[in-house]
Amino acid sequence: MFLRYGQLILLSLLFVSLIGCSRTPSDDPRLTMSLEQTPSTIGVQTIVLVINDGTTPLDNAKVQIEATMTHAGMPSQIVQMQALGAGNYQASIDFSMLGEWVLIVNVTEANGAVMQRTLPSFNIQ
Amino acid sequence: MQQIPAIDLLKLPGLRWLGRWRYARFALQLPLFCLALLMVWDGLTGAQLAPKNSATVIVWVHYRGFLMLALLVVGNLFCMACPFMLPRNLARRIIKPRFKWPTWLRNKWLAVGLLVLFFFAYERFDLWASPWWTAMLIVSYFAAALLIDSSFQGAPFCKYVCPLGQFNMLSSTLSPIEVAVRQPQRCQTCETKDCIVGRDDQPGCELWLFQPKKVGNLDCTMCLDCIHACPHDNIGLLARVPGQELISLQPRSGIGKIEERSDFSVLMLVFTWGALLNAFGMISPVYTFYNWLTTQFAITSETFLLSVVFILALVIEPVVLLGGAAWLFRRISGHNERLIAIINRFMKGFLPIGIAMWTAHYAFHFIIGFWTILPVLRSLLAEAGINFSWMPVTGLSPLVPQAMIYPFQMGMILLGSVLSAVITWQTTTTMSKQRQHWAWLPWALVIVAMAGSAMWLLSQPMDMRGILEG
Repeated sequence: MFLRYGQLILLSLLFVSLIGCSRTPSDDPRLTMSLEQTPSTIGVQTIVLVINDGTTPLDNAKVQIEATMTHAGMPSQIVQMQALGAGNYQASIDFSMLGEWVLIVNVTEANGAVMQRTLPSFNIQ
Repeated sequence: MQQIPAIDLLKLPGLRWLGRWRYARFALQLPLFCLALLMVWDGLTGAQLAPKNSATVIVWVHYRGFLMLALLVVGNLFCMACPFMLPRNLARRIIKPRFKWPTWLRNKWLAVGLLVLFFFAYERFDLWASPWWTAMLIVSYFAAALLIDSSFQGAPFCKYVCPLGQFNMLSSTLSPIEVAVRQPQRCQTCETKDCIVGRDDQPGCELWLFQPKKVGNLDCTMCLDCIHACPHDNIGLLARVPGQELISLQPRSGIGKIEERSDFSVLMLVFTWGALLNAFGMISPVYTFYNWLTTQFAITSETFLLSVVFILALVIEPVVLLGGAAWLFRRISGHNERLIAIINRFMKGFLPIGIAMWTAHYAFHFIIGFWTILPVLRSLLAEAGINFSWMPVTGLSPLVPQAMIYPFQMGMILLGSVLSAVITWQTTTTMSKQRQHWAWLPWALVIVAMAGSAMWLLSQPMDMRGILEG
């Protein structure tokens, strides 16, 4: 009986793992993004995001940034970024908590193309 | 003249069906089962960012907070509606378990080990931040419940294995409701004992709690089996004084005397000190402490550092505090029992402050993060083609004004401390007939130390898990 149930459980786990393919959209590698300076201290900070389409700065895009923590339970901040030109976009974010944060960038290009990217997480201390 | 308790939930209009309808528990389990499946699917296949995934948001924000509040307001509702039991119950319709749970495992030691392991894994692998691991945790629970209870008779998974169940059952000692006999006299003439042996297709208590001798909520999952099995309709969900069972010295059916069981004592210790440890992992000083440890031992392994913290918090600190209190108690009172036996008798007195700390902690996340389910829900509905764009995703306020949370937390700690003081005082008076006030003092000092630690922890600006600064 042990063997039978052991096999059943293993098969179930295998099945669950197999269906564990991601539903999240794949990232568009065409655009490159980087923060001019990674936020590190608590409080309101102005962040500047540099976006390039290949080697060309991406202008005339609508860029929305969502700041959230890497754990559940805290409301996100969603801010529309202001275009500064030369592929630079700026926004003020209130990093009101200590801990690990992450920025999710939503870009709507002038031609209507939409993409989302999650930037590497960073610590607010 | 017979005394009938004032309130029986099963006598209230709208709840009578719980006692009469055979599929009442199934009806309660089914929604949670569906929710569990949703969380497993989303956890494995959805966004791997905790605030964006229903597995992490529901388990670590909503479930834990609602669990504690439900335990304190009503009773062990989550064991009653446990979704992990559903596949197990269905499997038992096909295959009857053949084995008996080994005698050497008929205690809480395995559950103690699993509870510690769970606390450790929670910190080491950041379970709260991982949808995938949260989903796998749920799958593991289903698998373990199915495997164990399909192989062994009774409900050994709930009674001897499930760390979550132990957590719930310990917390339910402060619940205002318990499954209990309505009229004890009626049981005296009962010859069939259906509440424990079952009748027809209805099982009796699979956790081996015999209703006429059952005391309190320990080991009771509120599964309703005994209620449905009793042919005399003599078992109900009765109101009681919360914590009353912690004062009782009666032997408990299916358990014995918890005051004489070291396994129960260690389980309560891990539960109580674990509440402080779990909160300690959230605040900034823990990183200062890690840095200090790193410089002392020249080891940066997180597993090692965490192990040191766990040994300090769950072994050394309680051994020093409880051992010191027991030694002083013995000196003052002239009691001649061994220190471990004395600690076993007093251990239950610390449960209330542990329960208070868990409640203060989990309720905080529940209150702050309650509405964070909305963006997740909106996203899931959008995937299903249902547009709920009116649902807010930002500017989500706490459930109650934030200024009320800290006073609530302090109130919980104070209430827990007072209850702990009352229970340890009661234990002192039953064990010592001389210098009772002085004999109680060491235990009171431990309670003060724990309450002070809890208040300090809750007053810290917290890290990692989303507590607002200041």
